[in-house]
Amino acid sequence: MSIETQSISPQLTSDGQLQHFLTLEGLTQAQLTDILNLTDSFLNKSDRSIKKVPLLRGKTVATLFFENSTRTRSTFELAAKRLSADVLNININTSATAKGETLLDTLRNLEAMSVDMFIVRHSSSGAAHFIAQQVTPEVAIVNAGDGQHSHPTQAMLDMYTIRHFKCGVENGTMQNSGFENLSVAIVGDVLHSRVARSQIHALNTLGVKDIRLVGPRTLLPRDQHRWPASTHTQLETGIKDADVVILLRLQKERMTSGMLPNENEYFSSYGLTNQRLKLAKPDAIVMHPGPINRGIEIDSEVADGPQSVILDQVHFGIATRMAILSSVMNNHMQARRT
Amino acid sequence: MSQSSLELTVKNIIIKNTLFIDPITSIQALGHIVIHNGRFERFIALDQTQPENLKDFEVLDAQGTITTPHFIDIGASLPEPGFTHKGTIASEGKAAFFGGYATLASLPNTSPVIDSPAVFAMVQEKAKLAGQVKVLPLAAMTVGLEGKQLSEIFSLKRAGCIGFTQGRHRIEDARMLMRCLDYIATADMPVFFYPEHSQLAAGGCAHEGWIADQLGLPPIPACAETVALGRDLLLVERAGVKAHFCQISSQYSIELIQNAQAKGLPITADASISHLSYNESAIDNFDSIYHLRPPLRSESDRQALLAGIQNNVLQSISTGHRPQDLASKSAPFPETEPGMANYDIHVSEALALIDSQQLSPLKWVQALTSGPAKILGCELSGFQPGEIAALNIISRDEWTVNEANCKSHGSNIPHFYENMRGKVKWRIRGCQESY
Repeated sequence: MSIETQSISPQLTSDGQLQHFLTLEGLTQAQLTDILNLTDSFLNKSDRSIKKVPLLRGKTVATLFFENSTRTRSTFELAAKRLSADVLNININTSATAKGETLLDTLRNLEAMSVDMFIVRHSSSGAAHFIAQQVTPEVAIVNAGDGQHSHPTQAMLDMYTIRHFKCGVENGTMQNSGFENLSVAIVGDVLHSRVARSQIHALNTLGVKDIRLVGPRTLLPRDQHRWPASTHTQLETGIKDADVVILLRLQKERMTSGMLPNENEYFSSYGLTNQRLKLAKPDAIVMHPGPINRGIEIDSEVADGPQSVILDQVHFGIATRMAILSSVMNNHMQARRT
Repeated sequence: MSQSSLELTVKNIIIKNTLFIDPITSIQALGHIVIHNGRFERFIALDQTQPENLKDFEVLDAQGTITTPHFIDIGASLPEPGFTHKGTIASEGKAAFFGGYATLASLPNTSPVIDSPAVFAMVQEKAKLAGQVKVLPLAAMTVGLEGKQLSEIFSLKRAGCIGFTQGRHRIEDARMLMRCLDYIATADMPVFFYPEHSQLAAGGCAHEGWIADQLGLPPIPACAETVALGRDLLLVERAGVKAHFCQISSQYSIELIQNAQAKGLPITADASISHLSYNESAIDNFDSIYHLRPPLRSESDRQALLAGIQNNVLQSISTGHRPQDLASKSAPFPETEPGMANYDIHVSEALALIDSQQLSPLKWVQALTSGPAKILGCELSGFQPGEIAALNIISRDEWTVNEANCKSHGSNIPHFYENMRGKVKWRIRGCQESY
């Protein structure tokens, strides 16, 4: 045995409640289910609108994006506003960080403005953990994507989408039952994807037994046998009889770093076409965290086709993020009171 | 006996009931050490005839301690000149002194780089002024560590330099390295390598494996080390130069080194106490204290390194001491500087391995004394009959790792605010004068 090192997850309080939302690793099925159920309560089923509630009234939420984003940032902002929070968008590209201020100094300054919650996106894995360890106890951190590590709110909205379309309804409420019987294929650049990592944790915790990672060997994790998933280098076997096909966005830099020859070859081997989609179950849904590359990961016919739920994911994203922001803030305030 | 907080200056003394470990004779026994007129006179094991007529001797009860020669370290990063916000020769020398070291071979990656007799002399002078430990600066193989032009190898040798290295600034141009090695072989000087292939390790900060996969950290595959090592070994064999490989981290590297040694090549190697003590799981939760270069690798790699010490493929355990200031470690993990400040804690880490029977006490002491002495060609004395006594007495008592008990200026000392067991309690220095 190596010498023991202290390793404490900063996202949980001493009694196991979420005080930050950094990763889905280590969360229980009950914690994930609570978030899915709360998401449900924010959605009006009849007109697909989202309720406005006063849960974060008087609170200041700052979005702190060190990486560009349109949809994630917008849905977080909308979510915070629907919760009645005051929202501060900090544009890092033109802020002091660009002038050489360290991340730590930027944080200290924002803390001094009495911000209650930071929603953070950063290009370095572990950035949200680092920030959570550094901020004063009054501040809650929500991870909006850190490097290649984690994108837990995206994975939660994906789980909500899967539950919405693929799991049963009993007594008027959605149930988790059905997750365990699903076959879910995650296709593309799994190795560099924070979305995939979080999805795998979530699917595994919710009981999905058949998780498949599909892609060429340059885009799959090397230590494959330790993941709670099977790996497939052929798209055809990877999506065969799948209930859910999740496509990942392919970064252009993979082509210039020797991982793939070019976009055409990728599409010819791993692009999802209507023809290939027929291998999955007839009622399979197709998901993508966006923004999509038409003609690279996905054929336009599929993206705009009846099995695509890509725009539903965006819609559910607002309610999911409302659920996460309100639960984290609630736990955070309770933890501070005790 | 006169006493500072750590050092005991002694003339006639019996150190009683200590576990004495002699790396040369491989004596490892409980007993008493007799120091007469400042010189190590003899060791008397408990089962031998006990000493008589030692009335004029002071007695030091050393029950429960381990007594060893002073230690020697290869490859410490002293941040002076150039990076004194991370520590100075004086601060890190003091930490080494309190960690039981007498000698350390330091790296040339200072600013200015140690690539000329003038900078070499300046570093030695500063170390002499600090007066804690003997510093043997390894000089840069190439000017400015840039890999383009050879340093003045013969001039540096005449100035007292004992070896050359590029540190972590690899020469990727194989022809350039080949010529450097041929030239250094002409001067009959050893070369110290840090085998890591620049491109295979580019952008990486964690061992390629399960933990880095989960944390989404850019990986450094084990082959970054073995590919570099393989090339270095072939060029070393061709040049016939003496070579030491610093801070080996992976299982397959051990095999490569073992094969080279079996062929009779003059190859030695070390592992750092960190790589023997921890594996990749230490970086779970992005703890930047354990961000090291080479990275902490898998448990099987760690086991292979321990086996390498046991079967003499690795002749030395280094500290890999590399102090960093707070800002260098306070950032998201991939953006932090690698390195650990180990001088204050290395004895505790080693005792944890010894107590869990992963490391033999004799091998440990040899890897900190006779092993590195032979590699550096430096003197090791103070523990054999007739020599002026120079000993570490190590206590197994619990101590708290905190500002008061640590000497390094680095803010990257592991286990801070935790209790650890084992520390150098006294340094014995023989003195023939009355005091």
